Amino acid sequence: MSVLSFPRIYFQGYLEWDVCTSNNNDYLPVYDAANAALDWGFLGQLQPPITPENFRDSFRPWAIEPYDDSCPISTAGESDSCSSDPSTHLPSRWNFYGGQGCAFIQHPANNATSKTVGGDLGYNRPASPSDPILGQPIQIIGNTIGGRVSPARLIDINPASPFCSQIYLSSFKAGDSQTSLGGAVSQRMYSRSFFVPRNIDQKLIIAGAIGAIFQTTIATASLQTAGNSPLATALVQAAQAANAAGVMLRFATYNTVYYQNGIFNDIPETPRNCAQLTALYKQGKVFINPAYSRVVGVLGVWNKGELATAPGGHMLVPNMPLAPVSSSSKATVRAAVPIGVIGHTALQFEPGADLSATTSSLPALAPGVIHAEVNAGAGIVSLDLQNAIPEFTLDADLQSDRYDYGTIDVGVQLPGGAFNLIGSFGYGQYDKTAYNAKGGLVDVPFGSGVTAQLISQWLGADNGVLALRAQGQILSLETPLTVETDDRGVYIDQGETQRISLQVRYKNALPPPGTEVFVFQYFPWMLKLGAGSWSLFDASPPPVSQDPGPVCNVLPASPFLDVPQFWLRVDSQGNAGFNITSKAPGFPILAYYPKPAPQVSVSFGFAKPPAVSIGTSFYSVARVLPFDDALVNEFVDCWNADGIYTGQPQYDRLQIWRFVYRNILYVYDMIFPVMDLFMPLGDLVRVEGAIDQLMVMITEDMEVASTLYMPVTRDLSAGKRLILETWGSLVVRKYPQEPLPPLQVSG
Amino acid sequence: MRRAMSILLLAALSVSCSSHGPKPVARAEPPSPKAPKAVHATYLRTNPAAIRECLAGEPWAECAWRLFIELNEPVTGTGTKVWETEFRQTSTVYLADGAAPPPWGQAGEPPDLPPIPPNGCVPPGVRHNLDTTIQVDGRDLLDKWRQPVRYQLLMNEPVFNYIVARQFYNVNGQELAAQKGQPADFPATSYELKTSWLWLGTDAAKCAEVTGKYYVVNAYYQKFDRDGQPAGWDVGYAALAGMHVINKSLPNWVWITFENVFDSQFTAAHLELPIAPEVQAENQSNQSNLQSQGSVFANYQLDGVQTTFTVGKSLNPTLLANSTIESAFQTQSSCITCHHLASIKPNGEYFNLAYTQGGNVHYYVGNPPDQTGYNFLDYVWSMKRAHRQRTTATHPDLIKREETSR
Repeated sequence: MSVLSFPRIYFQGYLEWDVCTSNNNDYLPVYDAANAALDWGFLGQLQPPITPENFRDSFRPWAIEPYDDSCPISTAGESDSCSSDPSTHLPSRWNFYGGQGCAFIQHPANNATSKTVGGDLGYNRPASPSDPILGQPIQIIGNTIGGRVSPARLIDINPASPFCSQIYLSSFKAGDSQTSLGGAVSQRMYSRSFFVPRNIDQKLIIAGAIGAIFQTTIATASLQTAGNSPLATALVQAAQAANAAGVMLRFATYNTVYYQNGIFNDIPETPRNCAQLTALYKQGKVFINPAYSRVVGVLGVWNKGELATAPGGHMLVPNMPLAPVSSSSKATVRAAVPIGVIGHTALQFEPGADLSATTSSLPALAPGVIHAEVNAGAGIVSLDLQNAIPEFTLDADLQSDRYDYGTIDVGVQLPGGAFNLIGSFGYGQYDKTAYNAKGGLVDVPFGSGVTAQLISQWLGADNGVLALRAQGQILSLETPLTVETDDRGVYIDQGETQRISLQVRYKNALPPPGTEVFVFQYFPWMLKLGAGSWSLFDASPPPVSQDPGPVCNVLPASPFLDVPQFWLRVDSQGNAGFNITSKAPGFPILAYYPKPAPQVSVSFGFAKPPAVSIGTSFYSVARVLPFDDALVNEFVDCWNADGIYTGQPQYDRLQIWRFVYRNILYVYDMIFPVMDLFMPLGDLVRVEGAIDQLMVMITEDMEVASTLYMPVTRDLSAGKRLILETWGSLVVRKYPQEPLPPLQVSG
Repeated sequence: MRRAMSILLLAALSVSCSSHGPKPVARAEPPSPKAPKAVHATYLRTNPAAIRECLAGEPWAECAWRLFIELNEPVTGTGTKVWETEFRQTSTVYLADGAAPPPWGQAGEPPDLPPIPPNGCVPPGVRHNLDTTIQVDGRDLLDKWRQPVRYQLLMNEPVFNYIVARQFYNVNGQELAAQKGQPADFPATSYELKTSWLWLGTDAAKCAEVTGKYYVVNAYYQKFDRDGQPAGWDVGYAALAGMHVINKSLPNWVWITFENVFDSQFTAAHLELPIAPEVQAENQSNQSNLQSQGSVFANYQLDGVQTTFTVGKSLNPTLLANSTIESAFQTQSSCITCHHLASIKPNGEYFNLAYTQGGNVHYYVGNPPDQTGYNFLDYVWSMKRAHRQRTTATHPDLIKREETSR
């Protein structure tokens, strides 16, 4: 029953995203993500060129100079362009000095606080407003170093894609020193249930139109509580029940805004656009410029058998766009409706759309993905509308208002088209006030004569599916077979085989015997930057017309993974699994289909069922890390003065440092200048001085879950890790005059 | 003459206390300002028995202050302080080529060191090589002028003599000791200092800002380029921000740290561990006395004294940190535990100060971890600053090893 059962604790607030943006430029191929390298092919064509010989002095100054787009050329209205020309952007984008941190913020000066706001002990049993767990701050917390807490981290598996975000964190906490509930989380969170366009104000830029869901869990044994909150006590008791596994945390992030220094933080440098940001950077100012999202969420029970990171229940996908039946007179939005997103960049619109035109007549928009549970005991259907209702922004302070689809019916649609009504709810249960107060959840009581048994019959023997109806139209429709996984993000090294486990459900129950699933491998499109869609291998993606060179329309030479070419049998418990083996560096998307005919291309935006969008697909994203065994051999030769290094100094500190820097550390030194504050990666003396810390922070153990892993972006191949570990041992041992034996990258 | 001055000065400053206890954190009785002043006829810094006697018979904080004042005599004026001449900088012991250091008293300065342009800050005096900016956790600490705080390690003659005798001045010698299973065992008269500094350069305005607040010296450091190659010298003035004082009067050494009370105004760090009430009382008393003499050392405070791994018989770790030296890991800073880890494997690998657990990076506190396979270096982490001697070996054991490896 997940967070849709009771008790629940609701929260709302704001999430800060302090990502470093120079590894995900959507217009210029600055970073060769697949190979974790600077894109020398592109940088070498600049005038003057940036080369392996001069980058230490030339790259960072260039990264803060506005530059014309390479591909795609931005024409998508207001963006964070650096001048009136929308096709001019900073190579380092909007937050060069970001550290990948993310956190719920407490900034009372602008009423931007993140707190618990309410709760329910049961249906129609709201928690007392004076319950001490309410009104408490919420936190996502990273790991500690030397006793100091680091932030949680936002890490995209593919830095050029917005559909594979992950939040690494150590723990969650709601409360203070007197009253609290929290604990260590079971695993990192993944962005789920993408919804574009969720917000349509014309002032929103970059990812401002996207909404997403994040979820993780705290196992019962890891729960930590303090104080005497009846609501928290009830939730902990429910989490300790025989069929429970712990506490589940789920929240939506949406309405993301940029250039907010001084509003959501106290940073004195307050650029409001790219031009001002550029001016400050060129003055030598070093500061962060985070983005901020609204957050609405809920804490509830995590039951045994439920995935930790994927929302479960009946999954309803958008069936059609609808215009609101009413809207605020203040509504003013762009007349053109976004159809998708390019990478982390501007919204996509229909070709020829007038992007300057505005209207107060809101366009028809489809909702986002909805998860639902039928609660027989309470006689209700509980709906998760956290990321489901479109919004139009009224003000820059994120106080958005929501689409009024009118009264929404919950029911079961039968194969013949009949709609058996279960219950209904009005706008007052999903408007802004209710949404913020109830964690985005809506409980709909069974109507007269409706029983859980009857609903079971409609869904079972009568072969119906859950549906939402508004304005006489089917707004959302259940997709009966769901294929979800906690292996949403996978890092796989050279020569490595990994297993991905799937959980298959049919109408929120075990699937029928004989159920099968097929795995299809896609590549991100565009391949090199700004990936906002998927393209099936062996199919031709839509060409990008503006390509001035070999940037936009590059195709992968071969699939990145070996995956099964057969139907996966689902066992009686709804489980399936398969092995993947790395073949070539890249970012494959593995989509799970219940039928053998996949879509050739999958994009953001509304897709009429049975077509799927990225938001309604079931998938994993893998990062096949670079194959660096040859580099390992070269490293050994460099130290031993062998092979191509014959005649060079043997066992030489400077020579081996230059090898390590120019093949590994240089990328992070250039792309993540925030490291200058902790461990300047381009300075041998400083790196040697921090070698103890470096050696423990690059280990595979840390990679799995720690917010302190280096590199935090997790693009260090097994080969490069082996080189760093070996070099670190040489440093610790003060460069012993002895040869290195051959090294083998373990697969 | 200095000794006579010292005795008189200490007689004027000292206070007696009738209450003694083994745990500094448990001490709560402040010294009475009306108590008769004792005369300390013995220098602590040269007499381990005197320190032991002091620690056993007086508040630990008072012993620490006595040491600090002894080391900083004369406490008034800009004259060279005791520690500046009685201690030798590690940069002259652990030479870059791993060679044997010049004998005691013959260290000298780098031949190409330029003179310090006078700017009225302080008169010419001993020039200190503030040769690193890197703290134990690999990070640096910036001051209000965005310059890194600099550090200097020093040792007294008994430590130097022991290092030379054991050929611990290079990694090769330390490795050999590890291969033979011969741990270090420094004499009880051993002392080391670690000092932290605000770099003023030759900026007269900076000097003016710290004058009266900090003890200022002549200083320099060698610059290195990004590839670690020497890139000339920087010379100027520096203000004493903190001072670790450690000595081996007890088997696990005695760990003392002082810092300037203005540090939080001049650096990005502040002291995170509380100063025990009895230490605060001792600070107040000594600062008051020093202030009455017009001594700049009235602006320094004792942060604490550490002699045990844990508090009493409990497993609760004792902690001690200086905000300018252990800035970013103060709550996991235990000098005694960290230095117990000073050890090396036969292959030259030093014990790693950091470890991970549950995705967190920790520094050891409390009782030390297992160090099997490592040769004990008797708490002297400064030996990690030694370089490898890369020229043809002259030591018979090294020659033998080279021949074997061939």
